[in-house]
Amino acid sequence: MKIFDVLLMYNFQHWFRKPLQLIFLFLGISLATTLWSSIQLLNSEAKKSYENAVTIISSNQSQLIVSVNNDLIPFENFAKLRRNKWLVTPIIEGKLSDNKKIKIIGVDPFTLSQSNSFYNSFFKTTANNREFLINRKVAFASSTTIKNVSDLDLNLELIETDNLLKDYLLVDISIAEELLNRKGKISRFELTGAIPRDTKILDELGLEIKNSEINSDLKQLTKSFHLNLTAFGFLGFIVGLFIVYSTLNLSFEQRKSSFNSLRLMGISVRTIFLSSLIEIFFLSSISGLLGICFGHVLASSLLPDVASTLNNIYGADINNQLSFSIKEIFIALLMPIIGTILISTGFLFKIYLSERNTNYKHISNTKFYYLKKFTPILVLIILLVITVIILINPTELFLSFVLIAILIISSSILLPIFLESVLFYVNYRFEFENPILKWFFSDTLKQVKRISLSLNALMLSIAVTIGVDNMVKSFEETFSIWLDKRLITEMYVRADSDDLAIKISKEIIKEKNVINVYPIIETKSFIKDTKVSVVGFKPQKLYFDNWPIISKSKDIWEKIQNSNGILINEQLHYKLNVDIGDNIQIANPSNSLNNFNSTVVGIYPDYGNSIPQIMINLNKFEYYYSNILPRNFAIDIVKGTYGDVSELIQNKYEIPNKNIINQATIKEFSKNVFNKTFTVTRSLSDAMIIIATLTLLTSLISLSEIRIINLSPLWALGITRITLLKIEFAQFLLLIFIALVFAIPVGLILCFLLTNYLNVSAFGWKLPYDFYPNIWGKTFLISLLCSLLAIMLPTYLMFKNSASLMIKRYKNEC
Amino acid sequence: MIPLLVVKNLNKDFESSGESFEVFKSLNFEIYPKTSTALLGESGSGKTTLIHLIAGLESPDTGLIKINNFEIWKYSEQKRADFRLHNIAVIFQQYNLIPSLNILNNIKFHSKLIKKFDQNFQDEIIELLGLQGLLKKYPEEISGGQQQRVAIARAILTKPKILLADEPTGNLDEENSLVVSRALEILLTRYNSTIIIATHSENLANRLNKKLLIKNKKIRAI
Repeated sequence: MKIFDVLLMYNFQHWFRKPLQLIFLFLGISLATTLWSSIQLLNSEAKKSYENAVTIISSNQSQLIVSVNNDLIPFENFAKLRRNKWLVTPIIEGKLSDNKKIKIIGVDPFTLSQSNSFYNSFFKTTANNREFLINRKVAFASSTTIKNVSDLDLNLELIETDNLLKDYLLVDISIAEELLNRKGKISRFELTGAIPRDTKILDELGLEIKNSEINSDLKQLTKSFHLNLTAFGFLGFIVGLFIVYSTLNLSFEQRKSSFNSLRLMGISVRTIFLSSLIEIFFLSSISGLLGICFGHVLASSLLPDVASTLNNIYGADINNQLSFSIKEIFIALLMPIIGTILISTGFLFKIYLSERNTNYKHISNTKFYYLKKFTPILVLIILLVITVIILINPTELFLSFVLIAILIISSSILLPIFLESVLFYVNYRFEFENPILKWFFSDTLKQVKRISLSLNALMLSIAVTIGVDNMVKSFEETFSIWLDKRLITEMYVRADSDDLAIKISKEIIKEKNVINVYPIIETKSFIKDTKVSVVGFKPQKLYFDNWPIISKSKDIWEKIQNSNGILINEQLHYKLNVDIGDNIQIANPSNSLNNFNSTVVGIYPDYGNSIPQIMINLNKFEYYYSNILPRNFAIDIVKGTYGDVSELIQNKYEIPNKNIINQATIKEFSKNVFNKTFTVTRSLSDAMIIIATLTLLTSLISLSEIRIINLSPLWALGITRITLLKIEFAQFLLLIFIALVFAIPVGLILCFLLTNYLNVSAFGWKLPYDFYPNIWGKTFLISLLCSLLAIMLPTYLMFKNSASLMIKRYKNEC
Repeated sequence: MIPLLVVKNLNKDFESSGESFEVFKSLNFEIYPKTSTALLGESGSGKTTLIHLIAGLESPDTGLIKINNFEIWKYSEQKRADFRLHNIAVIFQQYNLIPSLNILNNIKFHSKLIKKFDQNFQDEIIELLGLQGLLKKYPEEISGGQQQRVAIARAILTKPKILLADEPTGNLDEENSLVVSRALEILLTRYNSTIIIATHSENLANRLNKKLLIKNKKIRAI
């Protein structure tokens, strides 16, 4: 057997001799990997779904023609467009009435074949595609979808393909018409050729060209959501690695003298270094694989919530089943391996350096003394400089995350300094006469270094929980008030046709219990090449009294009434850096001569909307966008008459019930969406507390052996074990208490960054920064309770084993 | 005269790798107050174990250990610890200093705890043992010999009824060993303590009143 093999065997024997350390090492790496890989799986599944959705809905670069009012388009428009040299292909899309989960996509294979993108991406890569052209009674679907529709009487030959998302059926357009019961109505056109010069026909038909931005929009919109998940996953990964660090630190400390002996026996430092590296690689690979398996389980359980959130907020369809490849497993495995090697560099470096310096103490006391002492200060100064630079222009989402990362790193550096300063102050300020008290504070001061990593893990998880919860609560209350103000009337009605819209706007006001009717009209336009939504509204008292405004000029409503000003949403304010008093030009896409300028007189919050928006007087809107009629109406009614008015409108105007919505329903739906949005974030912050508690538990158990040695001199003098353990308990409690107190301001700074920077760069809105001490108190108490539990087990084990261990220590002298 | 320490029919076995190893077999001896006794014997003969048994750190299998009429192994851990704290001072081979306290606070610790602290006596002992320059340092920052002198100072300052020392001069040169002997003499003469020292040093043993040799699991006076 070669020396290297013997050494490797010796290294692994350590873990068999110390099974608890091995368990903690596996626990740490696999926990860290579980969180990280689950987030990666969720993100990757969502990404696959977005890309698949594009394949189904439209190609990446193609342009769509849709109805201005988002209505279905009569089939005869297809012929009209073709006659006017518009190369388009019709698409029908909808959900099956027998099974609302199944989505039908109907395409015309002949005109579609002119579309390079879709044709290439689907038909050319799908087996049996000829079937589609020859036999129209076929449908393409994934294997899962085929299983899901097997009990439905579709009367179609189902062909399996991997190129479609779950629950999608791709059929001929004529079949889609039948299945969806939409004879002669199509959802949209896809342009398969260039746009003709003359676009008048689009106005005549009430159509507009829309860039196929579903892909980029969806990716862009969900980017912040996924970035948020990734940040949480990464933070969880780091906190999990703290467990690994504590365990590895202990194992290397215990083997330090053995490494020295081996080196003195003539084994080269290089051999010891390499064997340790292989040992770390092997252990991290095995536990990393375990973590990936757990990650899959966690991701599967979180996926429904994530899918529901993404669907509710962004309208994105996410496959409800996870899939991952060998390549993805390999990439996921790199993270724990690299992470573990990185945190071991300190120990490995010491082994490597031991060749030049026989005495470790010598190294630590001389060469690294100043480096160790001043590195944190140097890092803090660098971080401060970066923060100042970022704060000058913090609009980028990435920079907001950098700010949060800086907060996390600097608070981690500051916590041990803070703890030591407090204890140092108490120790030297009070000059305790009681020797036990003096020892208590001196020893607690020494404890800081030993458990600073787990205290950091705890502090960070609590700070993140406090920060996120405070922001969510702040947002929740703002959102609730905002909803009350935004939903100005009890009833909202939508007309399916222009005739009905005209009738509603003219006649509903005459009905009993109807106080006023406020038309809501919207179109898309551009400001400085940025797509914006233009909303027309009737500026009357109800708006003046209720509409939420963040910032306004003098006589705001007067100016709006006189069409001398416009309102902009917060998203537009931040995105284009437009403020009160600024004059902006709004483009008119259907007639460039009709572009108009207007002054911003007010900025309003617009939560949940990702698009920049302006609001103008309805008269002004009708003047510039004369071809668009309002289809939505806010109806102010006498309180308590919703049922009567609704019934009357349904009967008299033949408006289906689904087109009449009351304020309470919208509120409930919105609040539900709001709560769903933060489900995953809350789950992850809870998981962080659990991991941090585990970190504390494992590091205290790892420490207990060393602690018994530290406490034994006092026991030998005549202080009972129970007294010592009470003191030990109090020491940990004191440190945890200070760390938790430290976590509160860190959490509040985090909340400030989330509300004032991250939300602005990710969503385009700034949130009010309110304080909720009851939330901090609750988190503080929960984490204190968790920490108490984490302290109890190791101190109990110490109490149970200390007598024999303490005696063993003295026995060694026999 | 009533003996301060009575050891009767003391038996002690050790378990090692599943095998039982007998250390003492029916050990009997008495030690009188205000005397100094050297425990002699080869390495591994059980000197340290006997010190630990008397101090109440390790329990005998059978037999009796009585100090000042207090049957040490008859009582609870709490009472035993309390008795040790107030009546016994132990100087360990591995010094057993408290790592988180500086030398001065280590020296004071035990005597302050039992409220027997005497500033003048402390100054005298510190000077005698030559510890003046070390007071602000921490145990890890000083040598083994220095740590041993600190442990001796800490024990002496408690003015114990009985002082148990395990190789107190094991790491000291001849000059420092003499200084330690002088410090122990002060304890014996001025504070009427009883001293039991486990040692290999013939010189130290010769300075004490009595010598006991542990050999073949038994103890006898020489």
